[in-house]
Amino acid sequence: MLKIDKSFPGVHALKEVDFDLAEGEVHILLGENGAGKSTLIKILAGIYHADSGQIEISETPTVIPDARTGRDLGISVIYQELNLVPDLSVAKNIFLGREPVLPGVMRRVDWARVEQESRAIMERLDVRIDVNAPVRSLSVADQQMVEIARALAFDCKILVMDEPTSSLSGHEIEELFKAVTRLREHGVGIIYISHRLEEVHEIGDRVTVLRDGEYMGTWDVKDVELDFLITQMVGRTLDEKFPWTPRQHGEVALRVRGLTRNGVFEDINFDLHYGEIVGLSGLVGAGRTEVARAVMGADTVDSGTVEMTNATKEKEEIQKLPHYPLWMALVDVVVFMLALPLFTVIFQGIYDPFTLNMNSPPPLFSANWFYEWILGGPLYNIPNGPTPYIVAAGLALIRQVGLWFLERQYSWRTLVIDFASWYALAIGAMVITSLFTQNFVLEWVMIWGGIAMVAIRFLTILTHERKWTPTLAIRRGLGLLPEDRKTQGLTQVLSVAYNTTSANIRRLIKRWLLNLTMEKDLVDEHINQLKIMTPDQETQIRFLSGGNQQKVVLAKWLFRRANVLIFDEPTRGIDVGAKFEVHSQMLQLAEDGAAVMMISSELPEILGMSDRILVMREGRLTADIDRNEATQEGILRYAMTAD
Amino acid sequence: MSAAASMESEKLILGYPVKDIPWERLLLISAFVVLMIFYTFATENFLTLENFVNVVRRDAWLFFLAYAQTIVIVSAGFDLSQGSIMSVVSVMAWSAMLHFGFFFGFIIGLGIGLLCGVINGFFVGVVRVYPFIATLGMLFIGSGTAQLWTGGLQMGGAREGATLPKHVEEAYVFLAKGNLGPIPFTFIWILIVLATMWYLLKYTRFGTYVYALGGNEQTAISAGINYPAMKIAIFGIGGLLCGFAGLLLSASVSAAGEPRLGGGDQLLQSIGATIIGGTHIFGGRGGVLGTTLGVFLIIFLVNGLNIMGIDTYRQQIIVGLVILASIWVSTLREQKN
Repeated sequence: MLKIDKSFPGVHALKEVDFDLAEGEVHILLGENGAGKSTLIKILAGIYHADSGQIEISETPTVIPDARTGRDLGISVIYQELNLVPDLSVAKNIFLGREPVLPGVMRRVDWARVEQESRAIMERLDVRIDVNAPVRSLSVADQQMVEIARALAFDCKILVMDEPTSSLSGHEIEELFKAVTRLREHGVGIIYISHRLEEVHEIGDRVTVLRDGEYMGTWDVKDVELDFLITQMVGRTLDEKFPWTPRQHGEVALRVRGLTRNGVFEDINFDLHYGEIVGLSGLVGAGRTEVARAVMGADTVDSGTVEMTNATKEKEEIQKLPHYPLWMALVDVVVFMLALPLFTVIFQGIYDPFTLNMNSPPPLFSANWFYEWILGGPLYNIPNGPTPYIVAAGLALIRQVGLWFLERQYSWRTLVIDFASWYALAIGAMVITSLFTQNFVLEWVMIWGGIAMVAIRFLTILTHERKWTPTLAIRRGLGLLPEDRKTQGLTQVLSVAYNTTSANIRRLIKRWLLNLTMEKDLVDEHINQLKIMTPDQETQIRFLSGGNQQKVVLAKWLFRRANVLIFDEPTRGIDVGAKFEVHSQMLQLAEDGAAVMMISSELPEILGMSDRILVMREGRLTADIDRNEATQEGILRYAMTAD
Repeated sequence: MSAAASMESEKLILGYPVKDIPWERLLLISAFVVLMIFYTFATENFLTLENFVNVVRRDAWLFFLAYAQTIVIVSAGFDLSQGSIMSVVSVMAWSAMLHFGFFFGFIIGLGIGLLCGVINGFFVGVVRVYPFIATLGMLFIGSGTAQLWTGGLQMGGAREGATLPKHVEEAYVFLAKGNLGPIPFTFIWILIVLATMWYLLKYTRFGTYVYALGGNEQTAISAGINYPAMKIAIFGIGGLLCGFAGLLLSASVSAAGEPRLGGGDQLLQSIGATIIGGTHIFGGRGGVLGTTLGVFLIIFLVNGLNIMGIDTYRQQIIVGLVILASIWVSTLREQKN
């Protein structure tokens, strides 16, 4: 690619960039976000067209008008977001768009050949993936292999990989690198984009750096140091990468005891103090994010407590609830049906079904009004006598006994709720079945049944411990900056101002109305404090870069006055400059007395930022290391090996 | 790594790996069987060949509507205009039969269904309107056109004035009520369409692309699938089948042009059958075999209730509960995965 030039309205994305790729080499493309890497790749793939410049493939000038032509020329791109159809099988995904068709009028696709060739490609890559399994059942790493296999199936000469390792764990990265090496041996040229600088030496042959759309140079990997590359990327040296200084720690802010979610994590115990930064390390898939979500109350857990000591000393417990929220809804419906006669009592005094005069319309909101107008006729058909109710109680009881034998950790309270619900459910089922049988009703049973059910529901709800939910956690001052900030932390199509204030809109309410002047001032304050680069506060979030989006999530929690913050991969996909700023902000927060927990897959970040380091392996906490004693090797040992 | 993991979890039931067993399909079939047994004991005339043949013959149109809805929903679309297409086809085909005889009237009827579908597909695929909106537009346009065509009246049948020539009407009625030896014609139509759709979805490129579009539209487009053409083809097939369903229903009701033919709950029943049959509402999963089961479940559920003398309102409540239950089961399965 020679002197490639591309402008978008308002941005000069690429300024006469040169790039070349030899057969069988891994060429690493580096640059901060917005440096023009993706634009260059998209021009190569045929998605964008260069304003000027020329692309030559095997010394012949080539025009790539669209993605299809690009692919036919042997150019394949593996984007960060995997580009597969989840419900189709691996083989069908590999051959999507060019299935071989058997001769004949039936136009039948030769699935046998598809399967066989897919298997051959998998063997060539030396990975063991069932080619008939649907893609959704594979791990992310395996899905990536499928992408690579697809590129191979297209007989690609040039493979572009955009941050392929960003969601893989150590072992998976090794597998990927092995596959890349094999591709290189087969003569495929690979363009490799990454934010992980340590990968440059591990896998690359040559490296090219772009900065603000300008071509900075191409070097042999052997000849360059990482620091030099960073200088080239950002145009300045980061002499102090992590501006960490010792701090005074306050009292315990967050206490987690025995947190367990079956099959995900087990017996997690830790304390988090005010003014402290705790790093949570471990391989991807060790359960770090899941722990964070559980602490936040976003996922239910099987046992354990989360305690926050600020505001009130009140103890909040994560209470194990029975695992089916849906029956709750069903029970509520049934209870509502049963409770309807109550309305009659309220509106008309005592309700007597036997003296009902069906010639006059039933009174509004009475049981008969309900049966008449909603169900289409009076409900004369509930089975007579006590038998059905005894049967229902018996069914519910059998379930209780079963539950008690199967899972002994249920508390009696849970069992009572469960019993009540299933009793109601059984009655409800009878009501529904009785819609089409022809017996006479004993409605007073329903009245008293309804009253009893409602009473039981209220009693159980009242005696039940408060469940730890995100609402409660946020009220106590906890804030989570999720890993996937684009979808879980922000509303992309709404403004910076909205996203900043959304978690604490009450703060803006004056006399029942939102005070928008105050919003503007407060948001400006946060934008300045966090140095958020945005044209104005009405800009939609999706127009901001990753680093600035992360700062908006932080602004949201600061606006909420959260003082216990959990950062989940705070700097993933963020360029070097913004990384530094996010780190400075975290340290400043701790300095101001906030408790900070940082989940990160990057060891230097963990080592550079944390006062204390927790390590997780396969759902268990395996180490609690002080900053001074921590080394990369030590953490990795705890993260990867069983003691 | 995943291969090793799957090796461990490979338990066999009757020589069949556990994870490959289509639990949802089995559940659906067993629900159907339980229903059959229940009705057999609860009523006298349910489990008779005569009843079976009558039900399938009378509700044959639902099969075609549901197949149309299935292919559209699998490709992550949605067709609200099915009822209207039925109405338009009914009145226009009647007029055409009046002038050109049965055969050409029939072909013109199908053609109009196809055209409506292609227009839907054009708006979805080329103009890129959401399927929901595009077909909502067609819903109104279709029912308006049908009523305008006839002045809101039924054509033929009970109305004074023009009636179809005797032999044309006989041919028309034969389409829905005729027999080939002992086998009703509608059975043959259903089998032909079912086999074609099944083959199309399973063994052709077109079918794979339908699933690909439903599963991940961006991937499908970047794999070189022609999005507008696919959408037009999918909705076109949908429209064609709706047209056929409209012709069948008109023929079996009165052999008249009925502008309010598809104004009832036909659309809702077709969506219900599709969903009960295991097709995922957001596309990517499902198929016509499941839909066939779904249709059977709905029509025999209603038929049994009819025989038991349950009124229509309660029937609707029960059908609604069945649809909710089937969606509940599939979401439970999904949450587990």
